[in-house]
Amino acid sequence: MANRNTESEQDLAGPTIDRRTTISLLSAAGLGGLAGCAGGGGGTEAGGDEGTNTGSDDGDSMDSTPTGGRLQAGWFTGSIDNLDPPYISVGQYFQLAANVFSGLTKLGPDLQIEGDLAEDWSIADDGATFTFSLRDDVTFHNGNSFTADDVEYTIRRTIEEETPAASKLSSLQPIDDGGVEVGGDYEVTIRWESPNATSLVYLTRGPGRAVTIVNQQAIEEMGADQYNITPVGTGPFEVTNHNTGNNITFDAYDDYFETDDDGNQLPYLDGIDVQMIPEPASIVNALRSGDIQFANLLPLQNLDQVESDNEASLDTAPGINWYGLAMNQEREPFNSLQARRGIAKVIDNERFVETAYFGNALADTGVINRGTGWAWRENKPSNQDYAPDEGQQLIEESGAAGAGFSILANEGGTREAEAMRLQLNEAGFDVDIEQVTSSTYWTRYEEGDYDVTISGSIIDPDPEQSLWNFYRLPDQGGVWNWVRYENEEVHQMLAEQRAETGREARRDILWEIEDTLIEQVPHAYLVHQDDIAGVRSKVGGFQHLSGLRNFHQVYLDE
Amino acid sequence: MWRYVAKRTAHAFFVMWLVATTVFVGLRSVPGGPVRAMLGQEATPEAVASLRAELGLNDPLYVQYVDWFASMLTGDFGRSITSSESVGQLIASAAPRTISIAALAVTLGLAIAIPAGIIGATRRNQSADYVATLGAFVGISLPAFFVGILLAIVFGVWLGWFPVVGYTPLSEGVIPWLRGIILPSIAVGLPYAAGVTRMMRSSLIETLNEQYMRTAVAKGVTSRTRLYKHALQNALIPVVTIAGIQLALILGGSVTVEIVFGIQGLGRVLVNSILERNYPVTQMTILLVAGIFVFMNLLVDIMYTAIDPRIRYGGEEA
Repeated sequence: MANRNTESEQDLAGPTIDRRTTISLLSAAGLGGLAGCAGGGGGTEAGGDEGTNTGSDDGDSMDSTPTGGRLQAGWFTGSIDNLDPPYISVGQYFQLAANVFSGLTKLGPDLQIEGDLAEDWSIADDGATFTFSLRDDVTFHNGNSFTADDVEYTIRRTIEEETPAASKLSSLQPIDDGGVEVGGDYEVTIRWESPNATSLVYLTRGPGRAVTIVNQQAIEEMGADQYNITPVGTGPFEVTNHNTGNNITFDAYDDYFETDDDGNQLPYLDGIDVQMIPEPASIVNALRSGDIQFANLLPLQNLDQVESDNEASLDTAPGINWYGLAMNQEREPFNSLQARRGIAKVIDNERFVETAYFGNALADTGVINRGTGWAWRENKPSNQDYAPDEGQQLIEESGAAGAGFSILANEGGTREAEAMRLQLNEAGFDVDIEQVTSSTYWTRYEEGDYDVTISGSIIDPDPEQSLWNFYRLPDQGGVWNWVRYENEEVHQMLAEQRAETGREARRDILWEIEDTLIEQVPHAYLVHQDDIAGVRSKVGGFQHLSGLRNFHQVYLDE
Repeated sequence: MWRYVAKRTAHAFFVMWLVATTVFVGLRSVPGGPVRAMLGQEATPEAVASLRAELGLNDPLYVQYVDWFASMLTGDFGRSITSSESVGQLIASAAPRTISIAALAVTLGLAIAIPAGIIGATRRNQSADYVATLGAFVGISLPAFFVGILLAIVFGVWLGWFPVVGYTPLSEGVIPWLRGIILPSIAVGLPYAAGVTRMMRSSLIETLNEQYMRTAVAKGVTSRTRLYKHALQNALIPVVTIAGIQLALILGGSVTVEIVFGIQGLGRVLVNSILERNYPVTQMTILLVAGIFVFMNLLVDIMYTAIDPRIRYGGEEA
């Protein structure tokens, strides 16, 4: 163990973690899909078969990279209510905020972990203590210099204000008891309660966002409410105008500290004009007409229109998520294991992918996604494999045949609910859909006021994090355990794997947990959904990391 | 007269209070609240409880009501729960967009409807009448959002004449402003025009069959004078009434059209705020829309009594 940890410390030291270790780290953090995306898992260069890299931004073309111009972007949402990192709970909001802020680390174009605001770092205490040397040439958009005090302020604010991101810092030692120690203007030490190798991924500006640096003076001067809308960060773009339900204007920050490989100042663009477009047909029309040159998401039902367009195309990355049919075990017939198994077996996941996602997802009967390279396996237990006859028999034996129940769905989940209802009704159930607003949905789901619903983890920064939140006992860490699944064995194994620093040993425990979950069916596992953006042909340099939309290296041709 | 005006004004304020109270209670009786949706799945139950307390959502309903009402009377409309923006500011930035679309839609609608109705009435059962009548039926049958999507595909995607999303303020120039609102205005204005065309046609036909029109013919009045001086003036009275009532159609249509064209007007603000249970924004937007209707009616009532003393309301002497 000692040798392994020593090697691990060397591997994790800054300022840049080699690609091999990065892939291991990303995998350990559940972001192996990104590594696989870039290199196909085989050590090849970025831009492999599955990874996407719009336009040509290879080294040869860098000298001629066009600069200037404003990117017209569409965001598939009704409003962007919040750009203050620790408060953001919506992925689409953070995709934009990651262009305004910096983290201590970041994912580079080849998906290696690099210093962002941290220039270098060293590891101690078997990976529980990280000491960062910070850049001394960084300023916030308001002209303030960035120092180690900003790191401490950010962490303190995130925890003390009980922001949604605070849960990612739950294993940090108390701040005033060594958790965060400022060692000068440009040095800061962060201590976790136990070895935490994956924390470097959590410290990225995206998808980590546990320590995305905010500006104290700006918050105090403009007030938290205004900072929420027009925040001040150290990132490549600054927010110059924000109408929450309509548009946001980002201008390039001239003093941004990062340059490209040839020493050219980033970002290349003069700015980004983001328009919120909540209507599916409209965002596709806007992309096709050229009103926007980039769509952050595209409605699945309209993808063929973009595919057939000469000037626009899809940009796809495999999703690092999972979705399943959550069955409320406090209600009949879902309190019967036999009934849940039967239901899982009568659902044809491949068909569900076609009808609900138009084929843009990976059917799977487990919770760990393929992107999690080291933890992924093709041969998962067969307990939830499609076997309609066997499923029907289980349903009949459990007495659940012909049961009537409803699928709780919000406005964005209607298609999936319809596809599920179709299959369940064909299996002899009498299923309705209860479509409610998101506000009602979350309240009812949390309070257990539902029969079944399709839910899951949207971006898994680590398999254990979603497993922990979904399947620990509800009052001991299982904050999302709204299926009311209680299994002491799984509960304990989740704790064991968190303490295990050996990757293979940890993987074995995760597999054991997944085996148990597949067998006991708290969810009937369904899919891992692809992440799809839309891009006009004149847009170059976009590096598509699943769930992220970073524009600092994007440029416009012509 | 003044007593009547005072009574009608008091009545209008009572209606507004009733609307405000109904909206306040109604919103909170629906299951679900803003906090979990706002903080997301990631937030701990403690964080959810903490924010609920901070927003005052744990207070008894009557306490929340009194706080809200008292603040409103002092001109403090509160802040959006989701974005923390001032509600007054939010509505002030959305209203010009809806008003722009509505104004152009009414202008276009009337510009189409009045001539179409006259043509239909004066050339009854001729091909021009059939075209106008068919057009009106089609206009009424097609929902505004569907027309909007069709217009966006044809004039935005295929022809590239107009933007398919977004709004440019009037302060940035009349042409960009008009380019941004022309398609949504047509989408909302067409169903409006269809309704007014039908009323214009039927009202004019009825008027042309009146005895005094025959008398005018007997007196040798020219057909142009008969139509524009005698018939049209009388036929317009019910048309104006319908045109006014159908303004509600414009506001209703603007909700979906604003979503289709990505314009943050009052309609979209209202829909978003309802979906998010953003109580302060929903309450004030509904109050604003209700206020427009209530006080326009009040104005019309008062003008009626001033113009025509024969009109009596509730036995009250004018």
